[in-house]
Parts: sequence; structure tokens; C-alpha cells
Amino acid sequence: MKLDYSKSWILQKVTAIIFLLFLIYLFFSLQSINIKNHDELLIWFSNFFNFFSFTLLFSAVVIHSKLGLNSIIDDYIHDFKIKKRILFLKNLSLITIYIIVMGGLVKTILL
Amino acid sequence: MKEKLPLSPHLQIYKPQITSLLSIAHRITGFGLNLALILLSLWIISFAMGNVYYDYFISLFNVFFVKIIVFFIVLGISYHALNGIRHILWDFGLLISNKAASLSGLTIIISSIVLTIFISIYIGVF
Repeated sequence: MKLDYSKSWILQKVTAIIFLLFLIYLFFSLQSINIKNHDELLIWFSNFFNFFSFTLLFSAVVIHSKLGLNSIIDDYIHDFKIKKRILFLKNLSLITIYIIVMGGLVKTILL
Repeated sequence: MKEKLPLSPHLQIYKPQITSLLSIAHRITGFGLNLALILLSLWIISFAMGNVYYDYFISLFNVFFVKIIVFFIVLGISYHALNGIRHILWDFGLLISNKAASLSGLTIIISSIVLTIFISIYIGVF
């Protein structure tokens, strides 16, 4: 479903707030462990709330980035065909990044 | 014809003002922060690949050039986040007079620099 401009504007603000709140939480929460140590980070991610927070933060970042890039592309690229291709490549890149990151994280925690 | 319209936000027409400059900077930092998204993704991917790859990824942060990149990412996030809050306040009808908009703009510039220095020292960039 294609979002209209007012819905995507609201979604951009909502994702920004989610991003900001969870970024502050993760920043202070990660200070309690040695982030350079793989095993400590694994234990940290094994906590459901930490994993949930990171998933929410990462999802919010990806959606916020998608919407922000959409508006930049909309404003500066006027050729319809080029715009369509760039939007497709941008969406494909973001979806690929999201699947690889979340898939890798879930695999690491579960195995 | 739509194709002939000037590009938004009409950079060649407006006289530079603090509000417009900060709005342009908000877009530039937003675009640039996609680099932070890539770095965040690489961090998780290296974590998922195991100890050896993770240790290698972490060791990259000792390289001076990478530290500079991290510093600018922190600056970008600080500015984009604080200016984003300012935009949300505008959406609720707050700080929208000319004087308040300029003053809050100056506050954002100073705050983001201070916040960047604080965070950079706190996380050990310098």
C-alpha cells in the first residue's frame, strides 16, 4: 500500500521519537558492559528487553531513513524513470540491510 | 511543465538565513547519517560472524581516520536529533516566531557541538 504524504509525515515523526528514546536507553544500557567483548555483548543481547529495544530502534532507523530519502529524492529528482529506479534501489538496499542484520542477530542469539 | 520547476528548497532564490541554513543542514546530516546506518549494520554483522570478525571490526576504531568518521557521525546525530526536536516543537506551534526560531537555531548549534564533545570523550573517541 502506498502511503500518502500526511501519513508518511506522521510516521517519520513517530519513528524519530522511537529512535531517540531507544537510542538514549541503549547508550546508557551498553555502558554497563564491555562492548568490545563479544561474549558480554552476546549476554546483553540475550536479554529479551535489550533485544526488543534494539529491534525497535533498528526498525525505526530504517523506516526513518527510507522516508527521509524518499522526500529528498522527491524534491531533487524530477525525471520519473530515474526517480523510480533510484527509489527501487534505495528500498532494495534498506530491505537487504534489515534482513541481513536482523537475521544475523537472531541466528547468533538462538544458536 | 513540472520538470522545469526550480529545485526545492530553491537554494538559488532565497537569501541565506539561519533558519534556512539549519534546514539545509538537517537534510545534509539526515542524508549523511545513512553512513551511520551502514556502520551500525556492519557492527551487528561482525557480531553475528563471531569472535574473530568482531575483534577485527572493533580494532578498526583505534585507527585515527575511523575516529574522525565516528566524531562526525556523533556530530551529525546530535545536530539532527536536536534540530528534529525543534521541528517537532514547531509542529505543536511552539517557538515559531522569527526571533524564537533564530534563537532556538543558535541554541541548537551550540548544544550539538557541546553534546558531540561530551559524547566523544565519554565513548572514548579522543
